[in-house]
Amino acid sequence: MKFFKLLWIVFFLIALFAKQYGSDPLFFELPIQIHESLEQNQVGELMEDGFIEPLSVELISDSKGPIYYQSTIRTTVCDDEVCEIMNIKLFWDLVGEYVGYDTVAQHPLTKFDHEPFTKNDYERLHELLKNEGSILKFKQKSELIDKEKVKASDVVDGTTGATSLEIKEEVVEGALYSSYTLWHLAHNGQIKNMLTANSRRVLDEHLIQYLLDSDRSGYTLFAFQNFQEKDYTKYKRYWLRSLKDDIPLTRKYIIKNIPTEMWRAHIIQEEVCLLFNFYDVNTKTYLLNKIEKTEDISSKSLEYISFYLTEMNRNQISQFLDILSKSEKLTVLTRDNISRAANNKEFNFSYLINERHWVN
Amino acid sequence: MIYRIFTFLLFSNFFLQFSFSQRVLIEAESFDDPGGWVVDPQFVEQMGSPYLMAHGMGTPVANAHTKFKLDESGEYNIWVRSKNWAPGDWEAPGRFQVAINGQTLPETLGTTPGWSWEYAGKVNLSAGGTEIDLIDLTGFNGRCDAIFFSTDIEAPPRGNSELSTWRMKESNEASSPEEVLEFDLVVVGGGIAGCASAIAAAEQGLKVALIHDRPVLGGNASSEIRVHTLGIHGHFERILRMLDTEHYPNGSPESYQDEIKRHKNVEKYENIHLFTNWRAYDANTNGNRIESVDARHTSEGKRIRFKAPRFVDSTGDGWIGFWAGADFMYGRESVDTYGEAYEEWGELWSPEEADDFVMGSSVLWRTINNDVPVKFAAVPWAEEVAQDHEATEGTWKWELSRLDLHQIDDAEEIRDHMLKAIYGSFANAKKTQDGENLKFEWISYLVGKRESRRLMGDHIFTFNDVTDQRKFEDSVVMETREVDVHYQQNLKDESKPDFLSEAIFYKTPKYYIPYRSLYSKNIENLFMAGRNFSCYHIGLGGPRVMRTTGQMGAAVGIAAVICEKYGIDPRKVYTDHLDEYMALIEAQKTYNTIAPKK
Repeated sequence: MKFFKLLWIVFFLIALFAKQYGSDPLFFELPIQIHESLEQNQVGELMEDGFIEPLSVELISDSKGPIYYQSTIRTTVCDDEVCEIMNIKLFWDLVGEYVGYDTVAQHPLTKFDHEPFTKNDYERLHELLKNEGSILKFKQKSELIDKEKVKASDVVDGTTGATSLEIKEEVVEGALYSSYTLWHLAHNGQIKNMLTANSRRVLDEHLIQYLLDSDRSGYTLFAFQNFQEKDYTKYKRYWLRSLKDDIPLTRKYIIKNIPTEMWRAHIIQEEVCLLFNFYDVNTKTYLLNKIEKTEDISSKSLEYISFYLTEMNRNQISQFLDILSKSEKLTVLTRDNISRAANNKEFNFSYLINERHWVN
Repeated sequence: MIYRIFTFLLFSNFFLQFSFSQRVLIEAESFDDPGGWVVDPQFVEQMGSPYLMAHGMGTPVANAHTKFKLDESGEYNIWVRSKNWAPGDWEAPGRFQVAINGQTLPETLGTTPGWSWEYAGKVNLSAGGTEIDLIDLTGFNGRCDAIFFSTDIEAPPRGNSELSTWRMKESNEASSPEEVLEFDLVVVGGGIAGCASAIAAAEQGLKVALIHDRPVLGGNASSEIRVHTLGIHGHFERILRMLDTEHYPNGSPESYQDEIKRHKNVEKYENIHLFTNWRAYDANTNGNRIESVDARHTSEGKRIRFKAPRFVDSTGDGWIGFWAGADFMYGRESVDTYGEAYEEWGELWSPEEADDFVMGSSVLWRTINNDVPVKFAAVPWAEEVAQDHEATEGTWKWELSRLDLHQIDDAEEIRDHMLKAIYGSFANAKKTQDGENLKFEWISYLVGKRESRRLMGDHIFTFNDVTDQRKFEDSVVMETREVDVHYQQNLKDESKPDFLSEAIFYKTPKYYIPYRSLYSKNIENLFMAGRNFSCYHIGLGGPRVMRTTGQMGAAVGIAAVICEKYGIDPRKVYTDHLDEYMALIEAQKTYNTIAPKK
């Protein structure tokens, strides 16, 4: 067992050493092959309290266009009294989401008493940095340790024993302040804004297509957020696909932003309503809200939704029945679906239909 | 002993039978002995009444029992108002039975979706003492609102408006309360804000009524909900230290200690008249003024009309303002309405278009490791919500907000959804290697709300007041806590359970809230303190925590003193007596005696 552990450490050190000669980063979540021919362009610099030099961010592009951002960072990691220098390279995607990190040649990460990070420490750090909801978000630096338990130590991060239990579970053991500093860099709002502003600046048809073809939810949402009205026609199959498969936040954005003129077309209403059963609970309600405000909703759209009456929750059923009661032209199938639901003994909310004395 | 037993004779089928029908309505919350059932008055405005609930955390609770006198012998049909709170393709979780004079009726109740009268059976009863038992079969939150005996076969009405009229008729209830009490200030809601308001006013000699619908004070900080208090004390450290909590983990039983402290401190004021277990149900107005508030005892049903020149709405949901016709807000304002953007968080922070996706409500819970293995019943009705999520405790992240759910109108559904999440996640944890000995220590059955109605004042507090570091001449509340707005995790990742939230923090130096956000703009004698103060959705993100709302309460209590001194309404404190008011606020740091009883 010890032998395998030793073997692994040797491999890991070799990997770290090899990195100096252009190998892949330690952690990188994007499906991109990094090679020397990639183009680097500085995007901007950021200076904040605690930085020892401005943080410079670069946009990395291949022959087709932008693919990610990176920054080689030299920053201080401080507790109340002691500061140390940390060197690291961080990667973000095109919408400013953290996607990985790498060590800088000659500067492996260290922790308590300068002990180097183990493989597990490196992995744990990546997991921590990926966690947008980390507890570190809510903490001031002064809250990281239990002052009553502090042990004397002359190096930063040497207060592991005093780390609050709730924090201890989420940081690299023995590297509390490094974890804290890096998380707040990886999820720095100003950096994110700088990156998204730059992506917006370089956005062209090719990049929109690249974003829409991606399976990253942040990319598709960013593309839709930067659509012009004509794009809803041009990329119809993409936003319809996103309505079916994407995250609720994106679905809501699309439904809200379908151009008014386009939404007036019954065929568009019907294509959106046809997907009703693929939607999450919030999107369903959002669509029902939109239909409620739509003056001329096609009867076929209501029919499509009526097939899923028994899949709705209590308030959605009431809302949908309100919509139907205001519609003057319900299809035969819609009426059948309501009638079937009202008489369905397995349907928990049939009483909501029956209470209204629905006349078929 | 007080029974809420209402009998009256109904002359029915006069021309055919010349007979009378015998009818008796018994409200479950008024049972002599609730046994292991708890009185739940949270949803009166939605379903019509407090009810008894078998909150046994999976273990059937002891019978609830009562006795009443039946005037006439006869064959009685019995209906029980109940609800299957988790309908689906499984046995209802909250099943129970009714026994009359020791004879258990065969019907299993709590099985019909939605609140309705379930037919329990027919029994021959003799005139005289009659006993009822509610027999819990599951320990999983069966609920009983009322029991109706009738020699007629006609079931009581189901719909809320019809039912309300029917109930009043059956109980022969007069339109207004029998008892009328008068005070200098009526504070409705005994959370931290309400308690602070009562203390601040009482210390200056006002005769205060503090009305609260639970047996214990503290609201979200009480031992019933167990959220620790956050924020700073501002000008009111002395008062708020009497009421706040230590920074223990949310859900901790340490909340009991702080609750004892809180009660001791409130009860020492002779001129605070404490009405615990009283729930306000109406505000009576004359023009734009509230003349009185009506409240009902949550189990005994007695009613009192509370008269006062001024009122404080610290109900959290803004009920007093709502009943009085105060202007109010609900939901998230659009980002452009007041320029409240937080660029990197976009829609999750503030939407492009106004919507009702407010911060959600939490239900906290805890487990312990038992010495020996503990069995836990299967909970198929919880699986749809919990899915494969495993957990052994609930944190603040256990929160539910959904576009189709209103935090007030649908509060019972929100609570029940969270119960499914808890039972299901716990059941998953029980299946793991370490889960064998786990058992529930505590599950709250009260909804811990973050956001609901916000009453409009002369000033509406916004995010811009925070970002611009605005200082007001009437700054009475201050805070350094982050603006902290929540969103549901599944909005960004649909695979996440729908009952977990995430927070967005906007870190900020100290900011201030003006007095003008603490009284209604259109109801002349109404103050508000607590989460229902005058603010926009993002404005609420920071000061919604309980030390901050406590500051609001204290500030309002002191304003009420100025109002009483000059016989004026809250607005005049700002326009005509601001210097005196602010001086009195400043003096709170050192004021250390309790004023004599008025």
